[in-house]
Amino acid sequence: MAIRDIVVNPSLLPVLSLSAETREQCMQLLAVLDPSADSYSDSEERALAASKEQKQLFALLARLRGLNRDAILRVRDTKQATAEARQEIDRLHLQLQNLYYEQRHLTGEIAACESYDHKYLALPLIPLEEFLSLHPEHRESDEHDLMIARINHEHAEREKLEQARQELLKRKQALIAENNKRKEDLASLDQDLERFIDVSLCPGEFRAMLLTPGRPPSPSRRSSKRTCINSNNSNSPPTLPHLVLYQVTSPSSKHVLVMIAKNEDLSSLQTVDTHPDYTMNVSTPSPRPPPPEKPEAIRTRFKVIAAFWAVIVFLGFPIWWKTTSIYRASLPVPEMIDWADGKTCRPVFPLKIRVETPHLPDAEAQHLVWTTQHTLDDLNEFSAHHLRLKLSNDNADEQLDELADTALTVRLLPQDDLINPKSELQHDTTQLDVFYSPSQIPPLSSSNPPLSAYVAGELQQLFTEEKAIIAQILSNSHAASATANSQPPSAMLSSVSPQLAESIAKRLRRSMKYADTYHLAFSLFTPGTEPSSWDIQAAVHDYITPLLQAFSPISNFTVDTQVQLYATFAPTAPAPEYDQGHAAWTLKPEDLSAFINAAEWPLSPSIGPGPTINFILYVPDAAQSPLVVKDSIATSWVVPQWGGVVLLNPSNGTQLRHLSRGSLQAPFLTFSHQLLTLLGAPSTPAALPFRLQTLTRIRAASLLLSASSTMGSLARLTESLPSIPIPATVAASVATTLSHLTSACEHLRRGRFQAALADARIAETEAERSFFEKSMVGQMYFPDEHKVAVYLPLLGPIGVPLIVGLLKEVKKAIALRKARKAN
Amino acid sequence: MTVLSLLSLLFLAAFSSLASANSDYLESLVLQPLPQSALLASFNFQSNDSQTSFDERHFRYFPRALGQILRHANTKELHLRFTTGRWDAESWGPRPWNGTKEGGTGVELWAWIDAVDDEAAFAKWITLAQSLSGLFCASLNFIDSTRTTRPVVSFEPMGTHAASDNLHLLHGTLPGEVVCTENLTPFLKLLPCKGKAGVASLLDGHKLFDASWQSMSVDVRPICTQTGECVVQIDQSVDIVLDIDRSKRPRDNPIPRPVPNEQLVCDTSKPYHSDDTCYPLESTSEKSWGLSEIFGRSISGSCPLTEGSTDGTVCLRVPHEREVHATDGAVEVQRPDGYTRCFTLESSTPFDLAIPEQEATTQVPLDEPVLRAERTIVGHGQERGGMRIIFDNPSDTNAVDFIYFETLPWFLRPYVHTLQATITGRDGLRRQVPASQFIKETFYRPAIDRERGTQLELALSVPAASTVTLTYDFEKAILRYTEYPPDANRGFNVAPAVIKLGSADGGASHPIYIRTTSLLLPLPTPDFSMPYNVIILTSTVIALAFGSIFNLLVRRFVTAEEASAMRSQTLKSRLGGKLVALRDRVKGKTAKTE
Repeated sequence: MAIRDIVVNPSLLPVLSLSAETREQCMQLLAVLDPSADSYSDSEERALAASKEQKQLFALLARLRGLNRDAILRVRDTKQATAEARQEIDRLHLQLQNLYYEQRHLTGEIAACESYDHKYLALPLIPLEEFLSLHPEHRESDEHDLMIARINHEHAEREKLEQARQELLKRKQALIAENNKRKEDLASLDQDLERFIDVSLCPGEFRAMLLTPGRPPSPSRRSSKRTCINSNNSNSPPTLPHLVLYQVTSPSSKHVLVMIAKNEDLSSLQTVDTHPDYTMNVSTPSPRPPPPEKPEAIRTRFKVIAAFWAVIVFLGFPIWWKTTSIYRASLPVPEMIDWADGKTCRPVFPLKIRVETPHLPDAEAQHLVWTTQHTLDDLNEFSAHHLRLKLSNDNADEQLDELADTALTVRLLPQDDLINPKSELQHDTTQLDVFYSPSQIPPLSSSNPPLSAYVAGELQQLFTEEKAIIAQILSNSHAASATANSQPPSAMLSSVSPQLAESIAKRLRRSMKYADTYHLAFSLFTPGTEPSSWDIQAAVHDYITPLLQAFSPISNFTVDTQVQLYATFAPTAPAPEYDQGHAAWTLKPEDLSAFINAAEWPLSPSIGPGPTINFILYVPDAAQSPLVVKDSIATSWVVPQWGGVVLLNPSNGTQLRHLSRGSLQAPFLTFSHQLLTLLGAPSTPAALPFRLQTLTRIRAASLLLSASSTMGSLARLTESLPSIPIPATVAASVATTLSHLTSACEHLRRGRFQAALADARIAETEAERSFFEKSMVGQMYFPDEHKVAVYLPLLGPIGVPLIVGLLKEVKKAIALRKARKAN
Repeated sequence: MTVLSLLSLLFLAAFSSLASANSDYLESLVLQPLPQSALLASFNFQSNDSQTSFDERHFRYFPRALGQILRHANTKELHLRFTTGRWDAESWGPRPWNGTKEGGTGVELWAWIDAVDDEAAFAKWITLAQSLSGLFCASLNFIDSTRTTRPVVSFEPMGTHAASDNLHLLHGTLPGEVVCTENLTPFLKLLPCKGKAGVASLLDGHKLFDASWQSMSVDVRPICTQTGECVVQIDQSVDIVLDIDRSKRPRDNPIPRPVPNEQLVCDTSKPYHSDDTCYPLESTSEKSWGLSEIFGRSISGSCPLTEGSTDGTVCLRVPHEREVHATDGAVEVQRPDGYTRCFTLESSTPFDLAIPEQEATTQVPLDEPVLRAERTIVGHGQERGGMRIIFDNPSDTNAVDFIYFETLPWFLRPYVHTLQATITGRDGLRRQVPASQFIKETFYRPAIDRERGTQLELALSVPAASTVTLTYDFEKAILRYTEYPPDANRGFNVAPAVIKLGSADGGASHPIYIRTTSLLLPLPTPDFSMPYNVIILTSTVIALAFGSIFNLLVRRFVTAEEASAMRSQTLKSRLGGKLVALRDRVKGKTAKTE
């Protein structure tokens, strides 16, 4: 086929024509060059023709090449266009595909929706007709609404049912709980039964207990009586070991528990729940207890608890003890109590009496003293207080030593024309002068001469009151000493006259407690304005100072005086009454205690240690004068343990402006007498030095006893209050007291009463100081309960687990030991 | 004028001390109406006992109770003051007795004690305070080392003392003490005539402590004449400023009532004046009053012990033209100064004074005080504060030299380096000047915590017609828990400052004393239940921590089922089972019986 037929593209046609022209040119060239066709003559011409022809050919070829390039470019463009077109086609195709898929999916969805099986279609609703008959108002509504109504109706119905179900379920739970209780009950019953069987039957024997045997569980059998048949009476086969079959029907429910079988060591309960359907059998298997603990764990726990307790016991407790302990110095408690009970010291009063016989020969004097002593010993009933006669000799240094402690000096003086001997106690010394006629000198042979008896009687008489007082003090102070004494002071007391005993007891009650220092306060009181001054300096100097000087070995004194005007009676005090018979204003004796207006009158006690003794000189108003005590017409009285009062009635009714020394004499003599009474001096005999001697002994005795009893009180106090501290100073004071008590007792025994009093004073002071030590009291205000209450929030929560842990461990340890012993 | 009136008061005091030679007991009452319907009543009682009888303890006029206290405490000179209220110097003028017989608010005590050294003196001082506390029913026993100072220049002994005595001056104040009747009763008991006769019979606790200002003083001093005779003098005085209107109210119905309509004096010139509208006029006339009206009783005669004195016992300072009705029998003497008249009382007949209402023509002139002083606490907050003291010299010509003495409690710690002075002239300009310009001398004794307070004595000079303000800062200490009083939130009292001026004529014999008011210092106060809360809270925390640790260490851990299995074997469950069994048995029985 010709190329013209194939190539029809107009753009290629020039190429074809040009190629044809080129081919022709080529042919011409070839023809030129063809030697055979010798158209040209010479070769040069030929060469010219040929080059001419060649140049044309080259032109043609160039043109052809241009066309060729065009053609190639065109082809490329065409390919480009083709590719683009194709791409477009591909895209469109893809779109088409998508659409197609979408369409298919939608179709599928529609189909799925159409074929969806909805729940409500399958709901077990009540039939439409039934519903419509129940709710006729829905008859006209469309299908959708109708369905909704039906569903709602169903929902309500079902909720109601659910509620009912829950209630039933609750009932069921309650019943199950009841069931469990019954089960436990049965278990315990079982044990009881076992025990019962153990007790009631011989061990090792086969037994069987049959309780309503073979009765099937039936709800109708509400109460079945339990019967017990002893195995001895039953004829159950002996090969059936411990088969117990019984049925208990609970009276309150339909549950029947049946214990099928019971073995000795395995208890298994089967519960048959007799719910209305009677089919459900529930069996509860017993839970498995944990495996036994490892020994290491037990040991660790023990160590932990032990460590905690070790810290508490060895660290906490000592610290607590150290920080809260109080210092208690050790006291010689038994010794102190012995002192208080009078076991250590029995106060004795050996009184030394010197006998001076300046006019008698020694032998006769000796004999006289001996016989008198003998008579005295016979007369004396009170062994603690006895008189020792001693013939004075002229040894000077001995005299000095003895003189101070000599209670009495008896001087035997011969006097003529005397039938009976007579005696005289000197007022300013402790000396008893006995006058006798020389004829009465006993011969050496006589064993009981009348002169000796007379002297002994006189001496006994002189010391009666002192003895009575000392006996009173001793018996008052401690009854224990009476038993210790070989001769009880009460026996002595019984021998003195009751009047004397009573007056002594009264005086003891009235007298002030012993003190180192007494403050005397003399006060002039008057209800008006006069008298407003007194010669107090002179009065004190004349009447009081000598007495105080005499007392200075026993106590110290200070003297205060004051004048107080407008001293009226207390408004509550009864006013004095006028007594026509005596022409005087009278105060009733029972109202004397209200005489002193303690609220108004400035009678404050003096500052400094020691008690104050008040002496009141009351000058009544002219309108109420004279003022006396009713019945006794007395104008003075003693206020026990406080002081004395003297009423000074101005003579002939005139009011005094100034009390002179003379007018003060009588009151101040009364005051001095009251002072003696208040200080406890005996009332007889008249001689003051003798009374002071007696007072020394009395004071020594009472101080000794009071210090001893203070020691006893302190000992009892420290023993009864373990929480009070005892400072070292108290212990020192107690030691001082005891040593001074001992020496005082020794001095008493030796008859050195002044020294005994000095020691007893120190002992008393120290005893009081130790007893009233301030620092002993302070601790009482912080009781342990207070501390415990504050720290209870700490001690409680910590203490309880610790103690419980300890108890558990101890219990375990005991159990372990028992187990070991058993093995 | 001022000197005249001042002299008249001084004259009274001087006269009484002169008269002491004649009589051993003296008493006087000076009544002086003050502006604003106030009435100053100055009671003075003076008694002497010879030194020898005092030493021998023979007490006649001198009270024994006080005498033995002084002997016991080796006290040679004693000054005790009980004061309540504030003296209104602006309207009442200078103080009675030039302030020598008054103390700061509360109780003030100073004494010269004979002792070998300071410790012994202090021991005696404590004894003295405690004994006086018992005697006067006041809390003087609270004067301890923190409230005791030893002033150097502020006080001088009033009595004559032997040069051989080794005297120590100690001074103590109780600014918080409330003075009341229980202090008056022992005060009256010290008087020889008690309250039964003489001017003392007017003293009644109800009226006395209803006063706007009152001061009781007890001064004991030895006085020796040139001849060598020595007496121990006790000088007791009571000064009160009564409100006349208030005192005249009936005691059983003390509520103030409005003036009845018909007694109202109206200003008729006012345009709105009508029957029911009134502009009340100040009454120009002096008010009427009487002794029995104001004190509720009359003087029951003179005390018979004062018979030796010729001078009038009751003096009244009103102009002579003023009409005065006195009870018949009393002798009236008019003094030439024109304002004073005195009455001598009879011993048995009661005495009463009545002064009718009268148009006032002249007034008793009142002096201008020499110096006005004011002390306040400034600043805010719980930690710091400041003190400001204002001295005002009203005189236009003379500068005032004085001693300023203050004691501060130890919990108030002053910074003396912050002491600054400001001076204000009459032109009102304030200028800051160095404090050394006014302070000529300083005595300062710093505080020691819980042992002693600060003592500050300044010798100051305030120029004429100017006001000097001193300020310094202080820090408030925090007290220990137990140191707070029960009313801690009320604040703590700071004692008044004492100002001692030389006398007006420059002599040192009669100094003038001024006291500022006492101050209230609020201190930071803790919550007092705090320690218990802390103890309980920490105890609980420790117990919790301990419990959990202990349980962790000791407890054994098992699974729940195992635990329930164990539990069924424990005592508790067995007990429970028994209980159920028992109950069932009981129930079963009851069921059977049904």
